[in-house]
Amino acid sequence: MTTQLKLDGRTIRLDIAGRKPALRLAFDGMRHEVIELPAEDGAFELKFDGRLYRGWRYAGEREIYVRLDGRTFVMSLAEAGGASEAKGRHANAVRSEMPGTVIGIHCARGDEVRAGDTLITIESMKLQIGVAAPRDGVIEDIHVAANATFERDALLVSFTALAELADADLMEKRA
Amino acid sequence: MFSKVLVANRGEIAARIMRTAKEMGIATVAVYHHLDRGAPHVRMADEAVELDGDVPTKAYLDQEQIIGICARLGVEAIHPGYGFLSENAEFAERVTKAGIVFIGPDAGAMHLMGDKVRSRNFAAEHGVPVAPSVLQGDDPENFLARAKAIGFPLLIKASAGGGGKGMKIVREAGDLVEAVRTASSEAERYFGDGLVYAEKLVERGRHIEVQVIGDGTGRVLHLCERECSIQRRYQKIVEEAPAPNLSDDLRQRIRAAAVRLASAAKYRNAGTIEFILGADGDFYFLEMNTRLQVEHPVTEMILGLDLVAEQFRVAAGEGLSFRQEDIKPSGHAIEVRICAEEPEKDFRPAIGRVGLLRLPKGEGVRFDGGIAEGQAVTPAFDSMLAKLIAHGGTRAEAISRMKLALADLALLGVPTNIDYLARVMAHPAFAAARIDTGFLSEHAGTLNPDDAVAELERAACAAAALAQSDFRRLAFDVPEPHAAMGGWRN
Repeated sequence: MTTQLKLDGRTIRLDIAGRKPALRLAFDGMRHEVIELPAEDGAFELKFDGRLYRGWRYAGEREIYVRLDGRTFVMSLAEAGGASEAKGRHANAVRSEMPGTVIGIHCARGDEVRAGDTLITIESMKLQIGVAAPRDGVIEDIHVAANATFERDALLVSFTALAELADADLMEKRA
Repeated sequence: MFSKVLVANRGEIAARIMRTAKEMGIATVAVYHHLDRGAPHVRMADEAVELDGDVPTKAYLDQEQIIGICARLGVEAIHPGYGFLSENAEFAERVTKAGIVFIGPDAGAMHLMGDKVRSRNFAAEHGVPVAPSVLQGDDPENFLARAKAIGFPLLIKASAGGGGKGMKIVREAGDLVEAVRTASSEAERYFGDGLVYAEKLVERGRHIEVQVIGDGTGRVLHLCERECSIQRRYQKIVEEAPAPNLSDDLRQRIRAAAVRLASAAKYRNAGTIEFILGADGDFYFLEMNTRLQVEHPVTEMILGLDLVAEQFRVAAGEGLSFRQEDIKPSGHAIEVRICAEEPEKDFRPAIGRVGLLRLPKGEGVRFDGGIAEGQAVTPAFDSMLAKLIAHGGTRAEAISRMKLALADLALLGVPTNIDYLARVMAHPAFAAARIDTGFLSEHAGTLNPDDAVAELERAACAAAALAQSDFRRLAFDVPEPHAAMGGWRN
């Protein structure tokens, strides 16, 4: 069974290649011996191919944080196939990464927007932040009103990607 | 000296102030919004009172409640910290009227310095250089024409502003109208006053500020200067003292200008006069902050002083405990601001939880924080979580101590700028003190993280995977006949 970790937008595939005499993990086919040593609370010590690594780690609700050699790695467990397909269907939904207040709406239903266009401006942590269109498309609906507050993950704007519209047009013409 | 003070603030600065109060034998009262229940500043205080109110920041701004608590608990003085009510002249006045000492300047000095236009005029009257500028309020009809006459690039600023809000850079005449409009609307939104002014933009300027302290009689001492040019969103993230790469003559002139201004205002309290220093050596007054500054620790570290203790003494009428001749800086100090944010995403603020916190130790290292493990980092408050300060005999030593301290600091559970700050410290231009306010954008490319060594990254992934109970079960809890896992089964 493959465990997938997401790091900086990449997916790292990790398999248990062996358990005896020591745990062996395969990263994209490359095998490494991993021996866990006892460590104080919050810390870890690993012998990775015989080399000692000491660091700190914390598993939060969404991400796992690892601090190693002066670097912070923020990883999440990638969703299994079904879930990521479901997510793909909603890739045209723009959600908020943090709670905030809507202070400006710069698009309207039916508008054609380009990737990177600012769709709405939100305020969070005393800062104004522009929420940009992730790709070219047409605004389907705006789900928040000016001055409304919203929670993390709230649906802000939904739109149809231009690529999909082009497909649909093509299908219509063919039909 | 006072026997009991209330700290009208939260986070690291409330904890910082209470530390000194305790050392001086002064009892402390904390106020807090319920989101901060259990926060370090609340636990540190001898007494703590919850503020009523739904909106967290508004609770800390609730003058009436705070003054009422003082009356009820027999508080003699209020320390406002920075931000919140610290530069609110009306609050200072109300506190004083209620018979409580406001640890800060008198309301008159706050009123004078709180308005950009008034303070600039005051500076100019007292021979402190100000950048060429025109005010919208003087002649709104001809404002655009008058602004153009200064020449581009221009900076449009809110008259009532601060913190970069309502500030726009204009490089061409064609962009002026739009910049004035947006600056004015931001100013209206943040300060309730849409008036703006246009000022000559000092390109590649350095932000140099002078720490002063005055006793209210016109006696003002400078406590050296700080270099705070490394900024993002017009907010400082790295500060140091003394300022590197300044000629003695220029350093003395900047300090003297600051003292002249604060003396003229008969300033009482610790305060900071901010200047922008151009590449040509000309410097201009920006503003005066009539409060303790976030970056005050670098000054404390090079002078061996406690600025909060001095604030208490001046406010209690005990005067200054030292003379200008006693101010002899030793070595160099650097501070970095640890913020919950994602530098790779345009420094966007982040939320999460302080899941794990391990502080660096080491000579000359100081950590000013107001966070504890388990604490949520919410969008309700500012994204600055803590400050890390390193002092050394030389600037190079301070940098190398800071690098070690940053590497040893673990704050996990919320994205932070810790790794980014470490890259700033390691940057050759920073080491060479080639610094100006454009530093972070100029070096954006070289401040990006380099790819981790593959093996390091895989070790980190292994550690992450092994932090998951599901993965541990797969790795270790194998059914017979594979169960001979030996002694290292957890």
